[in-house]
Amino acid sequence: MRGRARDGDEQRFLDITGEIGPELLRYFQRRIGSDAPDLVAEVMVTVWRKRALLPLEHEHARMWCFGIARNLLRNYSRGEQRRSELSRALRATVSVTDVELDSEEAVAIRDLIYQLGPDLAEVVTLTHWEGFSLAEIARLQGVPAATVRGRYRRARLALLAALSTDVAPTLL
Amino acid sequence: MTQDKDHPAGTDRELGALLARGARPTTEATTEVRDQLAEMAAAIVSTNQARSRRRAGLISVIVAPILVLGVAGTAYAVTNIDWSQLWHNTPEWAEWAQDPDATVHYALPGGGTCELRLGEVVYSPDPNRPADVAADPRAEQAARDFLRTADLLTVADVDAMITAMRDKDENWAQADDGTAVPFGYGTDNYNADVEYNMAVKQAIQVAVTDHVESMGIPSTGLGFQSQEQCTGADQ
Repeated sequence: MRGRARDGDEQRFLDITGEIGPELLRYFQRRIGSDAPDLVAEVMVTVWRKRALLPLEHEHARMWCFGIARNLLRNYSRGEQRRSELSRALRATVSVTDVELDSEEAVAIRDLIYQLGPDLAEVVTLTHWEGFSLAEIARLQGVPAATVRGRYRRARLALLAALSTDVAPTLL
Repeated sequence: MTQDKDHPAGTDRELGALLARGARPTTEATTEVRDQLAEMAAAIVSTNQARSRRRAGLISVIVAPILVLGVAGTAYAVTNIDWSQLWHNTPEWAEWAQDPDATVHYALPGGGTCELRLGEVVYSPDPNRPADVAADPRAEQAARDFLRTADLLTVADVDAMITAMRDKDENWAQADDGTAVPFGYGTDNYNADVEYNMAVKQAIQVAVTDHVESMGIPSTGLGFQSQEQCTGADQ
């Protein structure tokens, strides 16, 4: 058990959420769109509740927060009542600054990604949308790095193969 | 594996370009967005602190949640606690538990397993509570929705609850002479299965309360029932 002062925990919570808040917002926006601010609020509430377990090393703390985000995303169901007071201001800002127009191509690409299955889809999106290394993704998924490398290879092959079919979007 | 192979986003540009066109639009991290995120974090801290003060000061006048430890008043022998009384195992689920809002399964430290059912959410604030203690009937639906949709064992922090329980042992049994006998961690009567089982239920209660309050709804008067059936518990 670590014996950090409560004020120290509070400052670390504010530091880490201040730093990765924008990253978390984009992480959820890319995947679920307009409910993203509410999911960010839920991550922050969970991080605060579990702050005693927040890793001391910065990069580990960052990945730990993304692990919470990942778990919340897996339990996310669209349409559920998530209108948190905490996220009201951010929701308003996001809805003003972002126009959620999905092109047919974007929808088709996401369909391709979803068809990979959750594990492979997560590897390619965390790699190319968030810029995570395969080693970091391995920690998030709780599997050996070799497994993630294999998942990336399979996902890549499947996506490139799908692109050669008539129904897939073409690379411009 | 080389560094580049561990970061394919930097080298696999063809796939990266395709995937980038599949992502939904995102918000730039402007000063306004950063400020709002910081305010969100600060609000979480201040809400938590205010809630702690409220709980500490008003415990006797706010209707407590129905989900309680279920140990107070139960008679135990001081040196040989009959833990079977604590597990509340009955062959039948209560009527409400036959259609619960949530069901979770977990393993006990000793290898036993439990099925815990939660439901019968009620909103029943004390009408005589102090005027500055807010209550909101929306708490009932918010809690019910959370129980029905959340992965409770993911959001409930059982380890932190165990730590908190060990810091302040409020678990006691009544001896034959009527005295209160603690049975928490570090006592002769410590039982890891009992501790874990109580921690699961309390951690879920905290998670529900935190969720409701994170939506800006006070949890005053909120309660729900739980019933578990465990097999292989250390008795």
